[in-house]
Amino acid sequence: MTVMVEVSGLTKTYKRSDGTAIEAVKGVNFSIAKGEIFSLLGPNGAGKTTTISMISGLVAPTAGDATIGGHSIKQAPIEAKRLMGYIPQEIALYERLSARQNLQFFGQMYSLSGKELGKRIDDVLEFVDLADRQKDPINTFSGGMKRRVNIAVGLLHRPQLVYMDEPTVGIDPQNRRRILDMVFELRDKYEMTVLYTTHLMEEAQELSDRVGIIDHGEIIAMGTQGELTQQVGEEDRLLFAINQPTLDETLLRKIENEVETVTRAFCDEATGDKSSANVTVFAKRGRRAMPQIIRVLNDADIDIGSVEVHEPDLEAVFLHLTGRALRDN
Amino acid sequence: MRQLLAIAWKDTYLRFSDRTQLIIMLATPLLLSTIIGMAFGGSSGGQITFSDIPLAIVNLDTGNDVTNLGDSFTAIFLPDDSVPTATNTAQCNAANSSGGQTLDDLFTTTRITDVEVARAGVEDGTYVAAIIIPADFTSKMSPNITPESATIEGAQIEVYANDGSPISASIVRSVATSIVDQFTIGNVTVAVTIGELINNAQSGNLQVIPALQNGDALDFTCAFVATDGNITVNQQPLDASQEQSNFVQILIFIGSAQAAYFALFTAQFGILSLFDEKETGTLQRMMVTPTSRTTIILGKMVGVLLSVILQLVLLLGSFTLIASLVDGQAMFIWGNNLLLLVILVLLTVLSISGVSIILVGLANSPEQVRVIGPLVNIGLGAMAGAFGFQLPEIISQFSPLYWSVNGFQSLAGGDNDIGLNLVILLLLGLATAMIGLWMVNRKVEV
Repeated sequence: MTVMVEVSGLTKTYKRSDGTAIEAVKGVNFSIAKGEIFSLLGPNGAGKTTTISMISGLVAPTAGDATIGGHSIKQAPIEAKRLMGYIPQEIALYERLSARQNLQFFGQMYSLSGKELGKRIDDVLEFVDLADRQKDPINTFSGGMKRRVNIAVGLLHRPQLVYMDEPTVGIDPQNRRRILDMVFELRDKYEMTVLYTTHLMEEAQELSDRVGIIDHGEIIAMGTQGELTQQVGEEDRLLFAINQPTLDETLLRKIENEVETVTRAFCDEATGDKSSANVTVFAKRGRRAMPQIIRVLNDADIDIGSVEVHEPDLEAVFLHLTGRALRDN
Repeated sequence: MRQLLAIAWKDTYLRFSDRTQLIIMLATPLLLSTIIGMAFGGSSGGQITFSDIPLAIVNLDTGNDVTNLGDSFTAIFLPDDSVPTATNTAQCNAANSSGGQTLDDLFTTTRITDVEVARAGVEDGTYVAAIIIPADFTSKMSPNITPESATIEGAQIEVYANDGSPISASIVRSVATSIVDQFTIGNVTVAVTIGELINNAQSGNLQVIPALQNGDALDFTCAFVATDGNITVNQQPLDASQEQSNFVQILIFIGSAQAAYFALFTAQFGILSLFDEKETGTLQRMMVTPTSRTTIILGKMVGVLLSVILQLVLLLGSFTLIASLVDGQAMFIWGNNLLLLVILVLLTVLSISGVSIILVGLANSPEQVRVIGPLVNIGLGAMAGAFGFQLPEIISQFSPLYWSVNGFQSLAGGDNDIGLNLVILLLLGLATAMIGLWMVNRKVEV
């Protein structure tokens, strides 16, 4: 296995205006193999963008280093940057320039010129399916089309490694599907390595060869989806929406003790108008345990709004590791 | 280098393809300057006539036992003064005067005894210039005759001029120089003639001067012909600017000031675009390319310089076009020294950009620049006379725009002596640009 990205002890500390320090990323370590899709999954503010910014040479790390294709981002940033393409979360384009003009400019920033640049532009416009709109200014494009040009810019110089920082934020399902398909194509057709950040569990699950779960600036779990779900065992996750703001602790313990396959039960904080809450229960055979749990709740006069059963997934892993749901963040 | 130029060109293209920016950069200064020129200079296209230029004259000359050349000099400007002047000049005038405007028409002269009062009068605009005749004027201008030689040491008079009126000041300077030259020529003539007479007498070879043979009196007065109060303006080597109409004169002043003033905004917005790009994420996108941070910042700066150069060139060119159209004849209003004009434009751009960079560097946030920047620009513009009035020179000199506008006016008036302007603009531009770049560089942390 050829290592494309090697991250070791990457740390970023910011100073607050009152002089105190805040550690945004705390000694992160991971590596990505060539041709792999690796996702950093975590809630907003977990440190995903800061980590990716350090690896791309945008932000100087306080400690640690990252190498891209063997080039240290601290010691040889220009060489490392030649190998990478960056697709930022926001639409980083010149709105008054056309799609082609944007590509021309950023192509020049990668030292491309002349016919070679023209050919690359034609290729990426074809790839993102925008060849027919190439002469239109960006400010006439829809959100999804802008996203696709945003991606095209990052691929123009045919990088070996592509960073994609939450590239599907704020777009419709159709364009989202298109982008996810592109990510597969990048790996399968163009043999690129992809570092993908997202707070959407479904995306990480669908796309990734491996996932790193990040929270509060630390990688708390890493591996394939199978490896990660093993951490929560074979447990299903049962979600009971109750029509009251909380559930008494003694009732939660009663569920744990009286229902045989249940390993853990807890109540999330009330949501919305504070009149309802979610009770999460981990059980080895969830569907079997469900009637017994409902009976316990009914005996206590708890009004149940709805019940969901989830097979083991990354959401469950995050919940298992942090005690918080990804979506709640 | 390719990346640097790509950034510079992209910024320039974006700036010049934005209709709103074009209105601010080009249309507004053109319109304002033309309107002010029309309002105060008329649009008749007639020729300008200089008259009644307020002038102070200070005669410190102590003279010698025989004469006081300072008094003679003063009497040329103040013919009614009861000072001894050359006599018997009628025939000289008949021979030399070619008509036209007299000095009496051209100047309104005030005799002042205190040099400092005269200088203060020039500085506050009461006088366009003050001619200061030194105490040793007569002694230095009088011929030193010995049997072997006849020499004149030569004296310097001071013309203390107000830079706000360079054309009128150059007329005063020109007339004063001409008069001193005439004094010198006259005295040399006298010295040579007398020296010759002495030599002949000493050698016992005295011959009668032909004029005496005819019974005429020996008369040197014509040697001083220009000093007798009948100097005419068209005898002086005055600048081409005298050919320009009032409209053109005002257009040169207001136009150059407005061009420099609006260029300040272009430079400021240009540097601020660095922070705009940070906000939209395009700066970060550039920074993850294999391009150094220095190249990116320099590329942005070159883009600013390029935009401001283009703006100034287009504005100066347009003013020339407008002047030609209004005056009904093709003309180039920015003088005849193209090289100096180009250097002045470049140094103006450098100093304007430098001031803008340092302003952005000093501010706590781009928002602060957007509020304070225009106020600073208005101040600097007012100091340079961009709004049609002039502040005291001592204050105006703190604005780089003053040195720039002053340089443009001088060149337009045919006065190529703008070395001081160029040096000040260069030093100011370099210092502010370097300090400002250092400060801005620190703020571009992404």
